[in-house]
Amino acid sequence: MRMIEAVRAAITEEMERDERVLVMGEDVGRKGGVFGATDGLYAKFGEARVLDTPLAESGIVGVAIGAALNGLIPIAEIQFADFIHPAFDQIVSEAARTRYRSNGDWSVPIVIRAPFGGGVHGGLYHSQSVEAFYAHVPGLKVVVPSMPADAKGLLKSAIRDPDPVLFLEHKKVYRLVAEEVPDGDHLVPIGPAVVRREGVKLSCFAWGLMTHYCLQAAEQLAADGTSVEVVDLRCLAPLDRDTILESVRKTGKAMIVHEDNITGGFGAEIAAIISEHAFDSLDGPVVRIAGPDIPAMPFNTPQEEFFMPNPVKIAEAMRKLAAY
Amino acid sequence: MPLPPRVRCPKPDTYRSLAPEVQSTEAVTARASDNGPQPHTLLALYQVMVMARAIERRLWVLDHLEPPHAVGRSLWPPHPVGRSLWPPHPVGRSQPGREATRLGVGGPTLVVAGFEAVQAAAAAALRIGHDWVVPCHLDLALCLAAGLSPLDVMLAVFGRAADRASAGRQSPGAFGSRAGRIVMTSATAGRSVVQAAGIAYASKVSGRDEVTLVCSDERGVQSGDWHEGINFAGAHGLPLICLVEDLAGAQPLAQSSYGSPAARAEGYGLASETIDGGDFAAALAAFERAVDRARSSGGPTLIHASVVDLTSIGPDGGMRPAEELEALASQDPIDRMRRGLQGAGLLDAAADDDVQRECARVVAAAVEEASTAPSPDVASALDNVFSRV
Repeated sequence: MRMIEAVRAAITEEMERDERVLVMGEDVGRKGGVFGATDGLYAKFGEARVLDTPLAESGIVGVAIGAALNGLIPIAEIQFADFIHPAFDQIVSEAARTRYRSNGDWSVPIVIRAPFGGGVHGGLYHSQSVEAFYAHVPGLKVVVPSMPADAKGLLKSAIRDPDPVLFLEHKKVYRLVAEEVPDGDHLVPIGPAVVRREGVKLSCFAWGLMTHYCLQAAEQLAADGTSVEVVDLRCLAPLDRDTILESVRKTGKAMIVHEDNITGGFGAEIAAIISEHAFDSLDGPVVRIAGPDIPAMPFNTPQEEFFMPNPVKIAEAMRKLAAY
Repeated sequence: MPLPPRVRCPKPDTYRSLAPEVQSTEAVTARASDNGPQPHTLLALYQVMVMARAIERRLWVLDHLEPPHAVGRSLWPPHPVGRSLWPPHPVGRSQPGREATRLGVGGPTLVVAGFEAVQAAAAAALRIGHDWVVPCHLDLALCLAAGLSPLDVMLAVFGRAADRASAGRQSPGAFGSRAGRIVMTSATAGRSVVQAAGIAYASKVSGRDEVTLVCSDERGVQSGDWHEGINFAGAHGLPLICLVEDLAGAQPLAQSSYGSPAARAEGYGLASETIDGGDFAAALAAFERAVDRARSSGGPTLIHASVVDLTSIGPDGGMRPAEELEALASQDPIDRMRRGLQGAGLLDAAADDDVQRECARVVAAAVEEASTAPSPDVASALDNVFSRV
């Protein structure tokens, strides 16, 4: 099963399990979503639970918040993460803060799904990575699966979570890989990272598409006899610090790879955690491989390739760090 | 609205008759018939209005008692002391802190005089505890009528641990009670309208006959979320009432367009009414029509209520002349309500004195209790970021 089908399976099963669950967003109903994540749900569950909304992202999230306050469990789809910015205020100032500002009296159990990431010729407005904006916000969980089984299990956990969850799905991963996905109530807890490949020479931390690219790069280095550990973080908030630090203490070297531009990207937070808590274990600088500090990813092929980390760039950086 | 025949005025010996734990929906919203509220309901609502005013007055006094060393600590700028009966206006009309000022206890207070009648009328038309109230910072009287007590308000003003709405986290004016279905909102006008539309959508698709009332001031109607919210409500025919409490008639906003909120609402498919927000009976009739429409699947309504500005600083930032203040005072919605009750034989001077004294006593007691209540301990600042589940 591919990730897009895993996402659809998670939503379908949760809607069958709990009639309070509904999906809403632009073109999620009759069209079934631009990527097909909600394909068939309109026919199966009807208009009231598979709601086509106006093209107004703040309204989508705001309505979802209200529906959650009144007992429903909305899954709001933002068609592309690039379009989530009008909803920043509703997500940050409202959804993420409601439990805190009411001292636990109110809560907002919503999931906001958003396809993100580049490498698909999406250009400036269909390629962005937005995780750093939101992982900064206490009260909000940020989940970024890289594998189909995780996508299903984490999405089901997100739907059942009593707090707001931003669920970022890399659009290039939707149909990139396939794997066995457990039937039925397959739940993956929100928080723990997973070591995708064990290694001893250096630790590589990634999420989304970059997990796959890091695994490919690690495979190249293995051919040279260099053993690289690849950790798929899966969740940025809450962040599994223990797994990160344990890996660094084992290998002594750390690399973070993300598509988002480098300055203020989430890799900076991971680097800070490592330098603060595993300084004595480090045997080299903490390295970040990330997009350049330009406003967004260009549409044209050479510049898109310039922007995106890829297995070649990552492998080169790995060799350099391993040799440090 | 024909008022009921003369009845003996109940002695307002305790404000707790409207407090959440003893307040019944019937006490506030029951009807003797389709002709209007029962006399005791009208008197209770009058008492709510007087109580709201008494709270606001008390906050101004507390503010003026601010010790010199505390001046400048507050977020809010200083303001001139009013020379009139009415509180001075704290800051300029167009500034975001219009409703707020310094408070001796260290926080902004509420400036809500003039809004009491339309809010009491809104509460009277709703089924409190069943319907949803999404208030804004102006809605002190509405929230008192919907179940908050003066002590609740004061505990929030003083930022105390016992503040049931937020344990002293939110600034005063962020009313809330999940048990009372009073939705705590943030500090930005208009943002909550999309959330209210979501609440109403949930009521509709769940097959429940709940009505949602969402309130904003005249500035809120200019925000994008306000438009997205009423567009959604209109598109889905939601059981939503959007109240716009508008002081702009007194001091028009330079930034606003010419279209009235009612006209804009009609463009989005809402029914709309424009009312005198100081006229309790007219406001009640409008809200009853809107509630009936919402509960019978007739869709949303916008009620645009003009509200008299009773503050002593005029649009130009200067003090209003005495004669202007007197003219404004003649439009005071509490006085109008009082005259209506007196004219109907429901209230005499002695009973009104009792109401005034009782409200003053309850507010003083609330201030005393809140001012001596403990603040939250520092460690609790880390609580309730996420669920503990």
